[in-house]
Amino acid sequence: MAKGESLGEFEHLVLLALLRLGDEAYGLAVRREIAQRAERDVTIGAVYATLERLKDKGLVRSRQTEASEERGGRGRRYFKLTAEGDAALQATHRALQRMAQDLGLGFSR
Amino acid sequence: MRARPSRLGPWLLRPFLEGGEAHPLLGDLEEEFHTVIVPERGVRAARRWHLRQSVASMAPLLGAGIERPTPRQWLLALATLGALVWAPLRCIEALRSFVLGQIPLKDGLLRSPAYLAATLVAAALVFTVASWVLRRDARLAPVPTWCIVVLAWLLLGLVGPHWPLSVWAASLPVLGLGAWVSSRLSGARTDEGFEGEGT
Repeated sequence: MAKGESLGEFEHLVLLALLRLGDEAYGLAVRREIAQRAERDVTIGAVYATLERLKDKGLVRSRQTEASEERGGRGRRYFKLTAEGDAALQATHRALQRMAQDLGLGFSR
Repeated sequence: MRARPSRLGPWLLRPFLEGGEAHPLLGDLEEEFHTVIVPERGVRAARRWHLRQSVASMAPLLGAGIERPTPRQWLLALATLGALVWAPLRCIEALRSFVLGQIPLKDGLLRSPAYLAATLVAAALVFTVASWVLRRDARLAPVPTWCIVVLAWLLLGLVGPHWPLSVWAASLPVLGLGAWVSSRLSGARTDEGFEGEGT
């Protein structure tokens, strides 16, 4: 994978959160998933900035829902991995596994 | 009556969001405010949380927008950064002119070298920070910026030969340090993969 096509650490976390959340992946859910599992208190702005960048790269797609009262009259934007996003995630995992192999980290076994 | 988050947060974020007030990010913030933070921490703490989230979200959103700059975003970044440094300097200058204008024989007194030095360094800082914020598209901006600053510095020396030598000597390390920081910051933006992160 060429430089510029690889995933950054936070992009990696966001894509994994999207996978975990499935059809329920929208900004707030992604933020909370990362906070709970990765123990990183990221801002909603950082999540959206990353999601937009991933969208520009063609790694995720989004759809907007109807507005609701609970959200101040605004809709939700749900995100989903594209086939390219899935491939990028797998490539990143393979690269990490190869790098960790034989280091005794218990990472690749 | 149902608690509402502060209006300041959305107002701060709107310029960075496509679609402004209707953007789902603001909806996410409000949803978390109502469903999680207010029940857990109470209304006042929830309002503080909402404002903190909004303020902290500005930097990554600005960065994300500037990666694909529109003319409006370029203007926004430059105007914000410029105003942060230029406006206070203008106020000080206006105050100084007013005070000196009230003292007989002092009106029209030459600006001190220290004042001119501060103005130039501040201008250089504005351009350096702006070029850092504008990222890739202005990666080379520090080089012409510092050339302009040094040229301006020399021209001022021609105009004001009364400057003591010590001011010139003292200004060089400052300029050198600024140029070095500038090149480091712009070089750092070439690294891929960790952009847009923040807490």
